[in-house]
Amino acid sequence: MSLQAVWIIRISETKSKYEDSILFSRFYQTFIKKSKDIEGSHYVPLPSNPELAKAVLFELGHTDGLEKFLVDRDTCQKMEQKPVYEINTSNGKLWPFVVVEQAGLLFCCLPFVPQGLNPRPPLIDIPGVTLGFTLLCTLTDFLRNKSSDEIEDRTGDLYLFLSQAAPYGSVLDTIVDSVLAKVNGKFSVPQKTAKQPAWRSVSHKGKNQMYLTITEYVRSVQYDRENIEDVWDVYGTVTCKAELEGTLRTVTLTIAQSGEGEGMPINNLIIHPCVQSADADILVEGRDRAMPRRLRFSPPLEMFMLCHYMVNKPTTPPITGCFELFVEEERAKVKVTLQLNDNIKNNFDVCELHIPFAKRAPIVIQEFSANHGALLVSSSKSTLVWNLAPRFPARQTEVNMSAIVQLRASQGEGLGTIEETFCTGQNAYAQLFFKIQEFSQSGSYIDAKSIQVSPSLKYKLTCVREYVASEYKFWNVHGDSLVSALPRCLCNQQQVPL
Amino acid sequence: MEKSGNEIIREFRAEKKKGSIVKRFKDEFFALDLIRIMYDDSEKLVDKFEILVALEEYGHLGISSESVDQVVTSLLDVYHQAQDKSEASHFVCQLLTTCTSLIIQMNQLESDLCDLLVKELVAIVTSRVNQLGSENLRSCACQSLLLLEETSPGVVLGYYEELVQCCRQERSHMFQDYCLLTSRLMESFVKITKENPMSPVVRSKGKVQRQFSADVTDMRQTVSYLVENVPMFTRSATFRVIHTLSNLIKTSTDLSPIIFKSLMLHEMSTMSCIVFHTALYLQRVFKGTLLTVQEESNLVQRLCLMTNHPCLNQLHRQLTTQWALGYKQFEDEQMDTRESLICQYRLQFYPSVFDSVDCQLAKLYMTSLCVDTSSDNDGIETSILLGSLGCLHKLVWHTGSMLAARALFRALYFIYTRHNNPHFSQDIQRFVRGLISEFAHFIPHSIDFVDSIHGLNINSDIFVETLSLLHQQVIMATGDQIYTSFPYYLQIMKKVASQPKINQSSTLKFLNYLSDNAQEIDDSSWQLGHNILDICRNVIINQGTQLYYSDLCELLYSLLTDYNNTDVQDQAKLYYCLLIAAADSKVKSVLQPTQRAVDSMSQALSSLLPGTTGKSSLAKIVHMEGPVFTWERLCVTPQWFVSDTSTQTSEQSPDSVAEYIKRLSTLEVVVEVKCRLHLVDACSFPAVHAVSISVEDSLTFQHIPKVHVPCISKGAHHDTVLKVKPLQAIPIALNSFVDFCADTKQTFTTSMPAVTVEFVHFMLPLPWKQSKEFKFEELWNYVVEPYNDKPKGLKSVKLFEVTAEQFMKIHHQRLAKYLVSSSPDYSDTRYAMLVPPRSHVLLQCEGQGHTVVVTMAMDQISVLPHVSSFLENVFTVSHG
Repeated sequence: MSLQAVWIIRISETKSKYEDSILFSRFYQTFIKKSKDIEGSHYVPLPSNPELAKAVLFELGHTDGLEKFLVDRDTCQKMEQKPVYEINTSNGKLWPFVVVEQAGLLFCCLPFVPQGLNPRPPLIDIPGVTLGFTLLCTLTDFLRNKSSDEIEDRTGDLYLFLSQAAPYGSVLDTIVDSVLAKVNGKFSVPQKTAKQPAWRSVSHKGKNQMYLTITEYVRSVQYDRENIEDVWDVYGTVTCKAELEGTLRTVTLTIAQSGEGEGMPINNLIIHPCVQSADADILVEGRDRAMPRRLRFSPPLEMFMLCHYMVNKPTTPPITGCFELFVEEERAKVKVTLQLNDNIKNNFDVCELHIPFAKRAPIVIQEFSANHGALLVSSSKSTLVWNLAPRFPARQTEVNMSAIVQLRASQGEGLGTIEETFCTGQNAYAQLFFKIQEFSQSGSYIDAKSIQVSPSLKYKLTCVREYVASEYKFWNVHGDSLVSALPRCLCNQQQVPL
Repeated sequence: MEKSGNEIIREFRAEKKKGSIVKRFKDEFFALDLIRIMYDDSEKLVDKFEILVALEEYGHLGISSESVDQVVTSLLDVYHQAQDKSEASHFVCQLLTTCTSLIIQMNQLESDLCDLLVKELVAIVTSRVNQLGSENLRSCACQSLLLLEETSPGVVLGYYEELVQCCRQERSHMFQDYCLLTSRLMESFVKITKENPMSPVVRSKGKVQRQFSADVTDMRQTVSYLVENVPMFTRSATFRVIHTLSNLIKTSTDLSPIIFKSLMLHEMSTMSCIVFHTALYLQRVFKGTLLTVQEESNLVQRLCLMTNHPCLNQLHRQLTTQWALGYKQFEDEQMDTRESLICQYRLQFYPSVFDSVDCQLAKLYMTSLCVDTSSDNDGIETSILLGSLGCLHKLVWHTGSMLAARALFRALYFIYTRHNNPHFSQDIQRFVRGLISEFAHFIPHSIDFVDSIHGLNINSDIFVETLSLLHQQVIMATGDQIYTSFPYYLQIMKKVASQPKINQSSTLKFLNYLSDNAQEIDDSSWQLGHNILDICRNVIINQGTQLYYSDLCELLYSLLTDYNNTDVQDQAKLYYCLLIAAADSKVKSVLQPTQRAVDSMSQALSSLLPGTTGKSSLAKIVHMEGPVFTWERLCVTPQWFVSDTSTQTSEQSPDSVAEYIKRLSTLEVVVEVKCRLHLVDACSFPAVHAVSISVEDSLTFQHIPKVHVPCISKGAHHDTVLKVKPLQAIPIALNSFVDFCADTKQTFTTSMPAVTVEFVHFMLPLPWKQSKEFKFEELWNYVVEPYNDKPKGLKSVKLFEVTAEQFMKIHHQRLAKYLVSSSPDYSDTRYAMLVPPRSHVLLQCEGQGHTVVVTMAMDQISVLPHVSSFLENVFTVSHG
């Protein structure tokens, strides 16, 4: 439940700069002392800040890089427990050391383990790890978009933030807005009859309005090969921001399903803790017909994810396609065919197919023909972009494009992400980005008429839907591709959708 | 203290970064100095706040048990002065926090000081219920009391009734803090009464403190009240309250955990990490008493779903996978006869193309735990296991990524620890061998993997087989692969050499290849040489000397004669001598890694060989005055070669003198002096061993490596070629001496007669054929004029009384090979010679009746007398 210390470390690859690496540290001596008392002679003292920075950066591969095998760090015997690490210091090994990496910074903490570390308990038995991890995520939110210098300047603010979020190192609140309300100390007057929740210490004053958004995502990897099955799934998130006067109100709403899209059932709902009750089927999965889902909740003031859901696998992906690429020495022949599924709303805010040539930039289009859309080269000159928005041709939902692209000589290995490294020679993919407003493939929507607020009041309601491609790839038919498919003999054993 | 609070804070921040702040706080009076700032109204509250934080973090370093009283009392005094200032809210909270923390750190929990603080804190909590504007102060006081009670159960317990009453009255968001404190007090009460059922709550020093009574009904009601109000709490506070209450219920026989059931059923649908963990925690603590089998199955399904839910971020999913691992281990420990619930959802853990490398590894751990290959007759389980590795393996195979490889080897090791059946082991071997065939830089991973599975002591055959496969892969490496990846290959060879079950003939062939090509592969580096020798040592120690005797001798001999590094030669010599002269056990005892290097290296070779490794006989070298060897020069051959092979132009004629000059920079002249060494007839040794011929260094030529001869018997001889690289084209004398070992194991040294190389031996025709564009005049100008770093050359003229016929004869006998051009009647003849290191001698001979005028040009002034002597010899001796 508690932490021994919190650090924010700047990722530095210069060994002589460890002194500058720690941007912030906060030690909770009471839990350090308890830890000493519990561990006795096995206790590992916390090192000085520069030494800790050095050890953490080494363990995470930020100092010596990952190019060289180092037994202490890379041995196969070390079991990965991310976000938990074992940090090797001159005093011994610090565990369970929690690290969250974001934007060149490492947010770290060392939880207190009341049952002792000898033997090491499993992480499921250490609540401090979960609370520490959540607190670090909160800190990343609090300091989002802040530079290292700004963070150093805000040391005082961080102390204050932590004094409310984790007094004495015992985590108490992990919602940024809620903690900041406590830091600012401008609380609303409690009602005489009801108790005020700790996660809503301030009341809204102003216009009453409620925003509800359903964002449905689809991801797909298509190979267009007989021996490899295409992969796709659809999932969604309902986001809510309720600016309603008064201390606490209860909102009831229904996620209904219209006849648009494929009308697939939504399953595997996971809900925000503020949801007081959901329909009786919340834990029943694997249903085969669409039905409305009803939720009752007391909204906090900040924007929050009301629920996440998954959609039973649709029969086909929204857009199917085939991507062919032949790379010759200095040029590449590209051929793409895309087909829009009949059930998908043909009205795109964005619809672009990106074909990256990261290692062969700058590229130049030599020849191009397409029965629809425009072909252009991205501003970085590394990606071929086929823009298909705002819609596929009305009477012909299959579009195709072919082009010859002039390439520069290969710039060698080791560039970019691991997937970009994979893409050498004929290994290539095209990635589709699209967004459709007021549509979801599952047909889910917020039934505005079903929304009830108690105690009742007038408010402005805004309901939005969007359908977005999250990771949508077509692998080159003529190259190798990344595949992970269940052996066919096991597919019928699958109890829940992957 | 002169510095302002703000200055001190800036210093604190800098010192925290450097880690030197502890020195400052070790000063006993520093804390007292800081307290003075707290009284100073001119200091900013934010600065005072940060100073208090530093005092909380580091104060214990300097504050003693005597001075803590003074510090805490002072801080409380400051608190009393500032408590009603609304703008000082955070400052006064930090004052209480620092006081509480110092009391705990300094073990003052049983002191009057602690009582004083507790009274102060209780007053804040009880007297200001629902008071607006005091929320943060009351929250801080509640948390302080909670920490004190948690650290020393009973210390706040005397105020239980008031505090519970306040808890029920409080309506603001502060209610949560009161509930946390109440739950903690109840836990303490149950714990203390269980330990001492008959006695009241007693504090130390024998003082009976305030007593209270709490009957079971009250307790049950309060627990219910707290659980009912859980929706009012933040997620973290929910876990904390539930954790405390579950401890209470575990201890108490009067309370049932069923109170948590509805809460748990609600929590298991949540996306919150903390809340879901609360449900898991309750299930772990009260397994079998709270949830039905179906409900537990739902919980586990939810857990498995979270590991794979695309809406959750990657770290969240990885953390839930760790919980799943813990849950599975818990199921295994329970030895439950039911089928594992986690295993029912095992296909959730099958890696997906959408997963990152880290997520794939986490899922592979789970897949490995959930499949059972022990009785896998239809092969389905094994196919799941192998198939699950496919995506990661492909990623490694196509990218050579170290990150992906590390994950793959970790997965393989984890799988091997649980599924070490022969079929799967073969698949693992295939994986590993395939990877290193394509990426030598994965060899360290492979070796670590092999070592790790060996350490498991499950099946030593697998270890040997895997190592053997890796060995075979290295042996099959092409020349190009060896050139680029030899350091990795040597790591495998080193490991293999220690393995008696693997045949080492091919290892030694591989090492021979490295030794023969050491110059090209790694410029005959010390590192390479010693790696080869280390492997030889491993072979000798682990395989004995007999099995590979001739292969080892051949390799060591090659190293000691040809390897271009003295230290490597010396060590090779030691090994070689040991090998040929000492018994197997002796060699092993000398070369054992446990043998201290100083012991083996400070002894004469001769003292090691007879059969003792004692230190009594250290190296002594006897100088032989009389002649022992005959050392004669057989022939001298100058040669030039192009050191930079990348130019690829050594065969082509330079187009011009400019091109010729450019090429000269890549050219080297070597004079090979072939000599013969044999023992003089009068020598008393029938044979000598470990003969090492050293040529003394000189300023006129580059260092000549030692020549090593294993053995020379009387009557036999050894021919050797000394490669001399002159730095100037002047005659040189090669002074040499020989170290050798006699049959008596004594080491001797003796000098040998000098071998000379004359100026004429240095003269070479111009390198490369001259094209028509090649102008002698331009070369002449280059030689006599300064050019870049080359100084100005020299011209000279000499007259010889020689007829045209005589000159023709001289030309054909002595000068023709240096000819560049001539008139048809040889009245104007031009010669050019290349001399070391990259210099020239140019001659222009013009016949004038009975006289030949020889005009000379040379770019080394020191060469003139030798050229002059050469011409004297040619024109006078030759014709007459």
